[in-house]
Parts: sequence; C-alpha cells; structure tokens
Amino acid sequence: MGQWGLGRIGGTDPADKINPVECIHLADDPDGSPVTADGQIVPGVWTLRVKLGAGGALPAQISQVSGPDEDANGNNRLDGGEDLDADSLLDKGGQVYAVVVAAPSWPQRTARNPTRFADYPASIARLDRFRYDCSDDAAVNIWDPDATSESLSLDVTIRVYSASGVLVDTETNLSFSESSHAFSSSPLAVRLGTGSPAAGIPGNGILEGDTGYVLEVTHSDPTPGSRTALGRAPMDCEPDLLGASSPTPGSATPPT
Amino acid sequence: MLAASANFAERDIGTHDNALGMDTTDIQVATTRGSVVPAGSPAVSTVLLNNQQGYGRVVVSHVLPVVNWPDAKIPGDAALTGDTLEGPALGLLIWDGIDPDGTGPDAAEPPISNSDTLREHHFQVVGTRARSDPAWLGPIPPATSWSTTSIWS
Repeated sequence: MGQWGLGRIGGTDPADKINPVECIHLADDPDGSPVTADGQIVPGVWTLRVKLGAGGALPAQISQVSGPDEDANGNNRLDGGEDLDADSLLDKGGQVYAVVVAAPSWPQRTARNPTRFADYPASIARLDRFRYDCSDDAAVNIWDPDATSESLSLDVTIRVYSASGVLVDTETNLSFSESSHAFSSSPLAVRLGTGSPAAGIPGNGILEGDTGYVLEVTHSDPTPGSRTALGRAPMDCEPDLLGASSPTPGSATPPT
Repeated sequence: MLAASANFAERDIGTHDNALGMDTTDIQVATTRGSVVPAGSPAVSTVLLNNQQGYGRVVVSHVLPVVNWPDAKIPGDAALTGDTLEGPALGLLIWDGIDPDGTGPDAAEPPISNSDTLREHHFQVVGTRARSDPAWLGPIPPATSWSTTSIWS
C-alpha cells in the first residue's frame, strides 16, 4: 500500500517507512457516476488485519521497543523505575497501535473483538434530519441486514421527550420501504403540541412537542445480543431567522 | 493512542517525564515543524514533530468521514484529482492500544510483537445504499479504515 492508501504503481514509497499513520479510503462510487459499476464496498463481513511487515530497520523484526512490557502502572508514560533496559524508551511488549473504521458498519461478536463490542447494536437507526422545526416531516432510516419492513413496523418506536426528560408522545407502527438492507419510513408530521407544557397524543401519527424537546427513535433489534439502536434529534419551533438568511452548506433543514 | 492524542499537555515533550504544561521545550516544538528536544528519563535528544501542524497528532475527523462531516460528497473535484469521493459514514469503530476504560473490565488492543505478529478484527458492512429513497442514491457513505501506530512515548 502506498502513502495514504494510494496504490503503489512501480517502485517504492519511502513515506511508508517513516509515516506512523496509514489510511485506506474506499468509495462506493469512485468516479461519481452511478452508471459505472466501480464500487469498492461490498456488504458483508470484513476482516481488518494488522500484522508485522517485512520491512523495517531490521527486516521483519520489531526493534528498540521489543522488550517486555515496562509500563508497570499502565499510564503509557515512561516513569521512574520503568526503564528496565535503560534505553530511554517505554517498551510495551511490542509495537502498540490503534485502528479505526468509519463505515456503515458494526463489529462482529467474535473472539476477534473485545468484549465491549459484545452487545453493540446490530443495526443503525437515524432520523432523517439533525433538527426539526414544527412544520417539518420526520422519517426514520434503519440499516439492518436481517430486518424486514414488517418487522421494523413492530420494532421501531419514535418518542418525544420534553426538555426535562418527560415522555410526552409515542408513535409506533411506522411503514417502511427497503432497498439493500436500508429502510426508510413514511414521514410523520412534526408539530407543536397542545397545552403548556406541550404534550402529544400517542398513536395519532403526529410527533408533537415544543422547542427544546427531543425526538428519539429506537429500534429494539430482535437479533440475539443486540442492544437497542437509537437516534435523536432536537425540536425547535422558533423561527430560524439567522439560519434562513445564512444557509449552511449541507444543512438538512434548508430555509424556506 | 487516540486518547493520548487528546492530551495536549504532552508530558514527555517537556524537559523530563514529569514536566507539566508548557516549558521552553514545548515552545520550541510548537513553533517549528519539528525539532530535537530532550525526552525521556534520563533525557535523550529526540526528534519530535509539531502535532498541531499535522505531525503525529491524531484527529479522526481530519482524515475519516465521520458522521459529523457535511452531508455531501467531497472533494468536489475528485474526478480531476483522483481523490476518493467521500461522505459522512454512519459508524465509527475503534480498537485502541490504550485501555478505553482504564481500570475497568475492558482491555487495550494488544501490541504486535515478534512473537505475536498478526491480529484480526471482523466487522459487518451493512450495505452500499444510504437509504431506500432512489432519489437519494448520490451520497452513499464509504467504508474507510484507518490505522495508526503510535509515536513511541
């Protein structure tokens, strides 16, 4: 792999030998044309592999930090008394690293992943905007490889909470459509609730609340061991005069 | 390493391991792209690069399409430059060499050593469609993986 995930076309990339950060970027549509079948992302289980390479000052060997773990107090700092081999380096029993994946994904529940991933949600739940005013419509997006539109109607709930965390409205039985494991619900109206403080009527198909309230969608995924997936977005029933005059690129709530 | 990246008072940049806050050596590093400074105990002249200028400091959102990226494909001139078209991704998974919960039950990502040379993790990519609305086929989140080894500290 070349520097920053670029392909290596002949010769060597000396930056790889000294750059402590490596990156692999993949795209579903590299040329920006949906007509071309050039996607690099395949749905399914992927393997992320970290291994000792063949290069280095000593080929295929970790040197200098190859001693046993000297970090007695686990603070990742070289403290007094920890430098057992007197080389001024904190040996950690090998080369430590961090790995990050940003993708429409979640970890597999296998022995190859830490226990903290054991109850991660096996689906993703999102509202279609990051904020709603009281004349918007709200739709739910769910990504789940083993769900159906019918099962999501039973497992997905939208709740409205007041600023103090009181549940004021609940809507269920949403209607979903699917494409490639991505589900979108029919939109529900978001409106100002009645009374003071505002409250809604559960099950009437309208999400009712007020400024400072929060919409929360939950997907109680029946996949064994899966934690409930959730997404949240605030409500704001006040006129956004500043936002209307200065639209933000990428804003999910364009001015009207 | 990612946790350490948020620690701006890097103690090992100081004149000794227990140095706190900014001292003359921190200033020396902060005002250059990189410099030779004393590090460790006993102090050894070591090259440290200026993290604020992009050397060594890990800032995830600078290089990964995390969820708070604008909901648009960038860079706009990717077809000309050959860069990867990317939009915000829905998930972020981290395996970190620093124990994420300190003294809690979880454990850090073990190091790669001469006797333990390979580590694998599995993750599920759910699909290539951002959502089912055909009109929304454009901005589909990419899968991106990124790894970083730590600067010895």
